Amino acid sequence: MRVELRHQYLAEKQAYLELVAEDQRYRRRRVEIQVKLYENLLRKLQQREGGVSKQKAALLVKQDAAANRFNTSVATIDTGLFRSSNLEESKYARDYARNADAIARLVEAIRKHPMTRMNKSVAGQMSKAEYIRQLITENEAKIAILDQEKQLWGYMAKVVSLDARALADALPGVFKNEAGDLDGENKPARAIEFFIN
Amino acid sequence: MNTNIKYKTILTAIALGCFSIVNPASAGTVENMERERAVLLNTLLFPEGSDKKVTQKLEISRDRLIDLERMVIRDKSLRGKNTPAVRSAFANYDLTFLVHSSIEKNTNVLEHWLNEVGVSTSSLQAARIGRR
Repeated sequence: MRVELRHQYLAEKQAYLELVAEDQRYRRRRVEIQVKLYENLLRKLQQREGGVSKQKAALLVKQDAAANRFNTSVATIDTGLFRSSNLEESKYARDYARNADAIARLVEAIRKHPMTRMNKSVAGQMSKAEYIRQLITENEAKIAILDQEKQLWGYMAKVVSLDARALADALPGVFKNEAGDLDGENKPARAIEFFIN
Repeated sequence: MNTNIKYKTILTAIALGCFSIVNPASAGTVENMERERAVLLNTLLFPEGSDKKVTQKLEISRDRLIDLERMVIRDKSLRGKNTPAVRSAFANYDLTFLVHSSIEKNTNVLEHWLNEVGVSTSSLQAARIGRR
């Protein structure tokens, strides 16, 4: 009965280790996919940001200047437009204002979202590339921990294997002689007497 | 396998949420604005028909141009788009965003445009008729 219980216990431990191994495989695959995805994103980002020629840089400066000038003058222009003429607000202007309001509300919702608050300390102060690199580092750390867990799991398997050997040795009717051989084993040398007499 | 695909999809969705909050590219905003500006300038320089008809045409064209100029300046797909049309559009704010610029400077569109292309009242007054 005791041996049977030990055997069951060992079998359960083995089943647990198999489950752990499977879980490890899935977790590793998940983290590897994450790393691959972030690396692709980073490469695309670097390609996009890295290739800024002088001409493009000059264009960006002009576009920023134009946007700034427009933003600083748009309120005055609108006031001037509606005062000087009987101009009605266009459909585009109405739709744009409504959408801009909706976007502002969404941005506010994103700002107040618990997940944003949680990441604010790191993500808020980083560029896109830095943030992706941070995510890659976090995932590489997960892989390192998985490697360590694998080692841990390996040692657990080793202990189970030793327990199994101990159980096998403890089985009734199985006895070892001084040389470490099982007494019941058929060794040809033991039968030599039958052949030489 | 299915789990991997699902996981990839979720991750892609997260990444999209993080990095793809941009306006959809609207092709041709610059071209549309240029076309409308050409129509406005053509009507101003070579008016045809009755005064009422010309005024009406100018008002329609100006109102449309106000929207088109705003569309161009707000079009995020044009940011860093290094094409001759976009470079040319942002080379001179006063000529490209003609209506906004003229209102900003409190002048009418034609006067503003003439000033920008180098034809001012004083330069016209100083001009002499002569044979070249």
